[in-house]
Amino acid sequence: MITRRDTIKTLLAGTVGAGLIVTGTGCHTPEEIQEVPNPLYGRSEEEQIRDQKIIAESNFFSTAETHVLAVLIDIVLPADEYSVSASEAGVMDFLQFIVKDIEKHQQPLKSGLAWIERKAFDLFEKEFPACSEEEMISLIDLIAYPQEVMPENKAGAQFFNLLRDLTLTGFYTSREGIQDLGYAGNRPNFWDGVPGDVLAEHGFEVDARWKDAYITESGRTRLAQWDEEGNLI
Amino acid sequence: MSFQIKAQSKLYDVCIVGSGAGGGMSAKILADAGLNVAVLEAGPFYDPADPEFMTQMKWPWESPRRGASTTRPFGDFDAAFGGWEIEGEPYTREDNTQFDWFRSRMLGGRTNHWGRISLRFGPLDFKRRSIDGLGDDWPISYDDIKPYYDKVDKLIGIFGTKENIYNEPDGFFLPPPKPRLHEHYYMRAAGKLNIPAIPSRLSVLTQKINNERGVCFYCRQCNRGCNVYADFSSGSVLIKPLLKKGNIDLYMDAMVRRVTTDQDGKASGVSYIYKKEGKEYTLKSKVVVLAASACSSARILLNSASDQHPNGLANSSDHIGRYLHDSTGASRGAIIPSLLGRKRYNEDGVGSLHVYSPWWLDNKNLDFPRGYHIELWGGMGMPSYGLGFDLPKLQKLTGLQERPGGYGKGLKEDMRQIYGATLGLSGRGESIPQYNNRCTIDENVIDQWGIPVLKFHYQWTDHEVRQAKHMQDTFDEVIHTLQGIPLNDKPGIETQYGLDIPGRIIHEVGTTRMGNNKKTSVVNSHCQTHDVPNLFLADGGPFVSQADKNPTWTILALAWRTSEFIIDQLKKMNI
Repeated sequence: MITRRDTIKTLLAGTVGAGLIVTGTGCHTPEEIQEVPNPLYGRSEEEQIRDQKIIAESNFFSTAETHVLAVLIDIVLPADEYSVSASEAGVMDFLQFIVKDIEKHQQPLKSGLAWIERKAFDLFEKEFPACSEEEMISLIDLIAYPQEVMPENKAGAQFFNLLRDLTLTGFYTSREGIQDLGYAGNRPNFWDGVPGDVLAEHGFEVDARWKDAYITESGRTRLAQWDEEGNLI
Repeated sequence: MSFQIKAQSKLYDVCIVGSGAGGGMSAKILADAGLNVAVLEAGPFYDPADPEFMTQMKWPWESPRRGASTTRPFGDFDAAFGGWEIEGEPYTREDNTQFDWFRSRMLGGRTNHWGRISLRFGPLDFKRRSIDGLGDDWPISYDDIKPYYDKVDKLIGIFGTKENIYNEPDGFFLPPPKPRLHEHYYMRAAGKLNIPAIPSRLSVLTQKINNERGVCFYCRQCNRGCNVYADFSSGSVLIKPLLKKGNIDLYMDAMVRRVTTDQDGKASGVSYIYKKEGKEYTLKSKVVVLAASACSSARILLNSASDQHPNGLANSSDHIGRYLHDSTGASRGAIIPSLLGRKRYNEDGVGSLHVYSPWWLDNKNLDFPRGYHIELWGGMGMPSYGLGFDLPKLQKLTGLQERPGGYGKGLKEDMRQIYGATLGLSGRGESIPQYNNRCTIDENVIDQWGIPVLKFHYQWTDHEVRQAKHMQDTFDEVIHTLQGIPLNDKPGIETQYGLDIPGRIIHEVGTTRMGNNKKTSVVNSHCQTHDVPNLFLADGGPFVSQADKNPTWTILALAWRTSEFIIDQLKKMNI
C-alpha cells in the first residue's frame, strides 16, 4: 500500500536535506519544489506544495522597499531592556512570506511605502532612508496616531496601522516575542488550578462545592471505574 | 489493516459511508459483533500521533504564516482539513438566503476539530412540541437513549460533575479540571446574576480509562488532535483500534456518489469515486449505513434516484433535506481590568472551557422558545496570527494611552499589560427546525467528480433572532457585573444581535429526520429509512430537534443504538 508519507517522500526526493535558502534574487519557477524551512508542522500534501511555491517565488518587496520596511518595523518595535527589536526577531522574513500568503496585504503595503517616499520628498526633499532619525520620526508622528491624523495624511495612517498590526503579530508570534510576553504554556504538565497566590490576589478560592470533585495529579493514572450510579470508585 | 482501491466482488455485511462520530461508532459496534464491515471515507488517512500530521505542541513560529487561517479556517494548527469552501466541491444558495457548510474530508471527519463539549440531551429535549407547540417531538424519549449515553461515557470518556439538573442529565464522569482565572471571574459574576456556572463536560481523559489511550497533559490543543489520544476523535478512538484488530476494510479517498439498489428497490451497496484515480467503483453489501454528515448523506440519497425511487432514495415523503438546522450562536468579549498586567503562569488547561452555564430559564417568562448554554474563552492562550491587531482600540478602551496608536517601547509595555486580560462569552442555542429550511440538489452545478451539488435555502426566524437578543442582554449583564470593558458595541437589530450565519456553528442536523409517520419523516425510531429496510442513517440527519447541546454525544449514542438494531435484524433475517 502507498501511504501519504511515501507520497511526500517521493514529492521531496532530491531536495530533502538540501537546506535550500531561496532569496529575493532567486529565479526559481513556481513549479520547482523546494524544501520548506519547517516541513513538519502537519501539512497536507496540497498545503506543503503551496508553502513551497510561496517560498520559491521572488520577494514581493524590492530591495529598496525591504530596506525601508526594516527601518519602519524597528521604529514600531525597537529593542528594550526585555527583548530584541522586530527585525532581530525575524519580523522581516514573516512580512516577506505573509504578503505572498495573504495577497490582500500587498497593495496597501506597497502603496504605503510609496506614500512614505512622497512624504519624505515633500518634507525634506530626500529619500526616506537618507533622512535623519529625527526627520523620520517627525514624518511617522504625522501618521502614527489615528485620532489625530490630518486629512492629507489619512492614506499614510492606514498604511502605518496595517504595518503596526503585522509587526506586532510577527513579533509576538516569534520565539523572542513570546518570551517577552511571558506565555508559559505549550509544555506537558498537570493543571492544578490557578496558583494559590494569584487566586488570593484576585480574591478567589477554590469553590467549596467542587473542591473534592476536581482531578488530582495522583488520581489521574488510576484506571477509572464507576458504580451503577456513575460514581467513581 | 487494508486500504482497498479496487473493485470488489466481495459482499460485505455492512457498508458505512463516513468515518466521523456516527460512522466510527457504527463501525465499532458492527465489526466487534463479527460483521464484515467496509468503511468509506471521502478524504485522506490521518493520525495525530504521526509526525507527518502532527500540529500539537508546535510553536507559532514553526508556521511561516504564524498559524494564520489561509488554508485552514481555524488556523494552520487546527487538525481539520477542509473548511467552509473546498476547491472543486462547491455548493449554492437559493433566494439570497445564507448557509455556510463546513466539510472536513479526512479520517475522523469533523471530530478532529471540535471543542469536545459533550452534552447529553435531557428528557425535555426530546419532547419540545409537547412543551411549546413548535416543531415536533422525537418518537423516542430520553429513557430510550440513556443506556447508550451511559455506554458512550464509559467507552470514550468524559469529565464533568454530578449536578442533578433535570434537563442536563449526569453521566459516568471523570473528574474535571479546576477553573482558570477568567473562569473564576465569570463564576462570581454569574453567581450574582443567578446564572448557574458549573464544571464543563468534555470528552477529554483527565483520568485513565484503558491502556490504549493516554491521559491529558494540558496543552489546550484538542483541536490540533492529540498524539496520546487523550481526547475523542473518531479516527483515534474508534477507527484506529479496529484497524489494529484488522476487522474492518477502510476505503480512503472514496467519495460516495450514490447508494445502489437492486430489482426490489432494496439497497445493494454503494458506488464511489476513488479520488486518486477519478474512477468509479462499487461495493456490495447487505446493509448500507450513511454517516457522511447530515447534508452529505442527504445529497447521496437525493443523487440515488432510480426508477423505483424517482424522487431520490428513501424520499417518498419528500422530506430529505428538509428541517435542516444548525445551533444559534452569538458572542461578545471584554477586557477584565483587574487582569491587566496579570502574573504569568501556565494556564493552558484542556482544549476548551473548564466552566460553562447550562440553560437556566423558563421560557414561559420569555419572548422566545428554547434555550442556550454559555461557553467561555479567554485568558493567557498561545499567541497566534492576529495577536496585536487592533492594539490602538485596546489602548483606548483600557485607558493605557491617551493617544492610541503610536510606536516604540510603549507598545511593548501595552502588550504586556493587555495580554491575557480578555474574557469571551459565546451562546449556543436551539433553533426551531423549519420545513422550508432545506438542502436540495442543484441540477445546474456539479463538483469536480461530476456529482450534482447541494443548494441551500435557510432563513432564521424571529425565534432565533429574539434568542440572540437575549444572549446579548445576558452577556452585557455579565460583563457589567464583573466590571469588564466590552470589546465592541452591543450588537443590535441591524446585525440580528450578532446571530451567526446558519451553518457557522457546524451543528448541521435534521435532513433525514426521525418519526413514526412515513409521510413526514425519513427514518423510523431505529434510524432505518421508512422506504428501504436495509438502509440506515447514523449521522445528525435523524435529529428531530437538537436542543441547545452540541450534537456529537447524541450522534454517538444513536449510532450505537442503531447498530444494535441492525445486528438484531440481520440475525432475525429481517433485512
